[in-house]
Amino acid sequence: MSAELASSGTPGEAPTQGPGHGPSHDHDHIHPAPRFFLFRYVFSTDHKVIAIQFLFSGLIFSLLGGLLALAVRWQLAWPWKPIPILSRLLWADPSAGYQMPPEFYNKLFTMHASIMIFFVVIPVLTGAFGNFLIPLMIGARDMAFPRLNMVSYWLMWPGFILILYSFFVEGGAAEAGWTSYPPLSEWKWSTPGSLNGQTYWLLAVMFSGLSSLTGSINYITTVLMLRAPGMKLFRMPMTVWGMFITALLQAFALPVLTSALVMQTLDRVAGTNFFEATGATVANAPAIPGGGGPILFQHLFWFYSHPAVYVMILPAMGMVSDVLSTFSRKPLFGYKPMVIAIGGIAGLGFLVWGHHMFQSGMNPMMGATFMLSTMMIALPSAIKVFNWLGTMWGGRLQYTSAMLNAIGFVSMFVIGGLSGIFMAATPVDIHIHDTYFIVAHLHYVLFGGSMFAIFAAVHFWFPKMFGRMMNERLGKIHFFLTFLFMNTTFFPMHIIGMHGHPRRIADPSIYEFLRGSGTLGMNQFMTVSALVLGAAQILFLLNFLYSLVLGRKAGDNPWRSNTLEWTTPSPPPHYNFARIPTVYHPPYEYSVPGVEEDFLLQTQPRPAKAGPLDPIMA
Amino acid sequence: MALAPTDAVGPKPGSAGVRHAPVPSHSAPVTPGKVAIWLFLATEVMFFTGLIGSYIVLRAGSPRGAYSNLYPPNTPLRGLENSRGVVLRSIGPDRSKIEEVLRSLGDRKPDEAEQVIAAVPHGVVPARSAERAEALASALRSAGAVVEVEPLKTFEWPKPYDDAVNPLAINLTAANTFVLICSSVTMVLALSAIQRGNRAKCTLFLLATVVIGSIFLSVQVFEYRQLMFEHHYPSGISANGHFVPSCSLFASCFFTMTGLHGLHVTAGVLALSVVLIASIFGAFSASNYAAIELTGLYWHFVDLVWIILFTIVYLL
Amino acid sequence: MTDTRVLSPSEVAEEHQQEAHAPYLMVWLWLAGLTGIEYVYAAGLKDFFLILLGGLLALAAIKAALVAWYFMHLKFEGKWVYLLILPALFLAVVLVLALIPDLAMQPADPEGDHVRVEPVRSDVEMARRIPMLATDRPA
Repeated sequence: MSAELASSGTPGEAPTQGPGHGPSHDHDHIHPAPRFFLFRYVFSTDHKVIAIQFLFSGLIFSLLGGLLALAVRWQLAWPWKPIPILSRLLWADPSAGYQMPPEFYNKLFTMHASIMIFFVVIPVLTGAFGNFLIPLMIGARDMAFPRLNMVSYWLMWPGFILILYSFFVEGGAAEAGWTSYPPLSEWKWSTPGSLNGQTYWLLAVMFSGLSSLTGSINYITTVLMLRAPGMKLFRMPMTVWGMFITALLQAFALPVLTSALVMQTLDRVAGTNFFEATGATVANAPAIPGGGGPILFQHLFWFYSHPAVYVMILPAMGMVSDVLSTFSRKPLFGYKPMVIAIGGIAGLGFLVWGHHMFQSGMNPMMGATFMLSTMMIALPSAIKVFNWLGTMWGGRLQYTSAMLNAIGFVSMFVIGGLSGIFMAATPVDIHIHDTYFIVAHLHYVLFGGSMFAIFAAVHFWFPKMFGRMMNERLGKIHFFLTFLFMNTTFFPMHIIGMHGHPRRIADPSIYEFLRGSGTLGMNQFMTVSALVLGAAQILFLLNFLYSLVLGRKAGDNPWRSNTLEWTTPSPPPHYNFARIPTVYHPPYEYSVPGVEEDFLLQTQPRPAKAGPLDPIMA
Repeated sequence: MALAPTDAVGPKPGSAGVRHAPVPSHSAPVTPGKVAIWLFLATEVMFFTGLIGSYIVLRAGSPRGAYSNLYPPNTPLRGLENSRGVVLRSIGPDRSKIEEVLRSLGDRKPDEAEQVIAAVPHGVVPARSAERAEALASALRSAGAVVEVEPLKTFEWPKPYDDAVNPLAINLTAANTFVLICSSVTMVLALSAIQRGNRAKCTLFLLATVVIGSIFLSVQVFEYRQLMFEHHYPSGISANGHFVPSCSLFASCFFTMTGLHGLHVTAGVLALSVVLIASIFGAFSASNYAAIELTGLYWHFVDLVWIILFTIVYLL
Repeated sequence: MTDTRVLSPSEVAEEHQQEAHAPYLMVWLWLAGLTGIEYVYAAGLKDFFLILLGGLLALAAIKAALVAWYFMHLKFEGKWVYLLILPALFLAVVLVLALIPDLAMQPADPEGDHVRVEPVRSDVEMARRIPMLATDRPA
């Protein structure tokens, strides 16, 4: 039965289910988990194991990415002063006073962004939570293609190895920013990181992309084909909707990035001329025929990487919607509009990439077009924010750490979204482009948004993943510290950005207007905040590891939530569901009149006196 | 893994007609494998859009003068508008005399003369003015060569069939296109055979597909070898006489697009070989042929991409 | 399950079978013929770019459509396939259209057709790039 698409009957009618019904019941065997350790936990085809593999590798890489960020902050606050301990380990050149080499700063921000985007946020959101939740939430035993799923995880490993190895090649890691614009990224002699490191970077990102691509094909097929009986599209939890639309975004946008990366790699190793201007040369190097367009790379890059921004926020939005509804003990306000808003963001997200290029010398007509389409994204985003508020409004809020992180997500997303409107307007963007204002914006969306959603999701689904509860007190302390110091770290960036502080600059004091004690003081304040912010994550790590072993045992449904994963044991068995469940209603039936409990599992029919569901909002 | 059925039968997604009408539809059944392969093909469409789209806009933006019959691609032509080219059609009986004449020009690199002679019947020596060109031409003629003097012609993009700027062998590739189309036909006949339960025929057609696909690849490798190493081309094609990815934007686009297509063909041949081996061991039957169908879809897509590439890269 | 009777794969196969072989060989002939027409068309009209472009693109489109429709069984598939392919084609068109203003529309060159780039190179560099240029050397 699990393989049937749209297997629900007509609306309102309880779908039938049972052995012997339908042609595919033969496939509903429950297979035992592999016994051999290597196949059970390492080369596993079980979506839950793969999810945890993604989660752990993502968390490990987030430590590295975070350290790189702290090194960036150190240099900005105390330019050229040696970093305690690290300096002696990394560039032990006493003659230079252990100071950071100038090009190393470029490596720091390049690799911080690349690792956080390609090896932390995207794999954790889609790889870990997508993998874990999609089959469980739609009532499937596994992904449509479990072996392909395994391949998609192991495709990350060449990426992991290449990106780490790139630090040790001649010239060191890439330095051209995570955007990898030519010509800096193409001319080997333009900067040490472009000598070799850039090629490794390109290959690493390509592998990460292949992993996402295979994953997204798997997710889409699973959602389309393996839903349990009664799980109509508009009965899927927002998490699944977020993951599904994210997978569509990746499937249609990632190949374009792959083609751009292939062309850049060929430009570097085979001498092709795609992104080289005619006769381009520096430093007396021989001229090349050229004829290509450096701006072409920017277009192709952002055609993927703007949708990638939504890849990093849509799953987060979906998961936060589920957390908010559960802990408000109220139906999600406007479920269908929320789904349509996610679809709208994704659809518009394909048509706005040019707003990253307002200052690139792009055709002004295009600038106006992209400005308009970008402004329009505010509409579905606002619908979502208001619906989250509407969900909480009048609810019986339970301030668990998952809920707090979800509320943190909503509030920080509002700030990040509003600052986004500034830079969507071309006239304003002329001033703030490439300043710390942009850095502030993107961190409010990526840290304040995606990271808080990841924290919320980890707290929320940890009991299901590992069968134990996380410590609530530690979780709350972690949340408050993170929330406070995230704001003190990133908010002042708006101010120094408006003041003209450029991003990607190792020593701002070379400019007279940035030499004042105000700018420097704010930089130092932000760095101290960032250090505390980093230290606060140790609490999360401790909580995670402690709860893994010593946490209180969780029942099947510790949060009294509605969706299908809570009908399984914690952690779920290899086959997920002893019997494929039947779904009767959308996932947000909390506090339904006429039901004793304040929640109603999707597997339980709605009582007749609850009345029909609102056809538009639910 | 058996948990994921590949031959499940269910109504199509998004097609309300099937669900409401009990009339059997003419549509083929929807399987996860088919959904996935079509999704994969959609991603491939986007991948080739990145490459072909770049080619289209780079080509459309290529200015007049980017290519010429006398100078290497993207040479700045300011001050060279009155150039004439001495085209060496045949070196005549005495090669050493010709070399001597050419060497008297090229004093910088010893192999320049060889390069021009190797490119015969299209060895081009550019000259800045008509007088110089005529002087060189008569010197060469008196050394026994057949030469022509051509004025400077500029192009936005190398024109097909023009030996001075475009090295691509259209006859060979047209034949190769036909070869790939044939492999698509044998592929679809293999599927058709197994659908009727004829395993032997299916195996034979699969074998034919693998063989014909390999022929296509071999011809492409041969073509690459000719272009990059064996043949010598006049200066309008490449500064160093070989058509390599670095010599012009045209070469970059050509090698990238056909090369990545070639990689797809290679992947297809490998996948088909696996399917062929499975077929030899009797893995397929009239009710179990998903692997053949899915590999076939990929193979036809690769064929389809080649139809487009042959047209826009070779013929246009 | 619903009350719909859905064709089993073998039943579909039977349906295929009736129209199977003949159209495939016909399609093959068509494809071969169209390739031949393309070849002749391209050779004959190589000096008329726009006519060449329009004709060849139309021929290529017909060939591609034949492959997709018959060989890839679009003829037999449900509408769901178009839900996957049409968005991709739409985005492909959007991407290429958006690239045109920045890359295909070059600024008009004020100095005439032949001039490609601004910097005037020295004769030395010119000679380095174009080895056989019979410039200032004795002819």
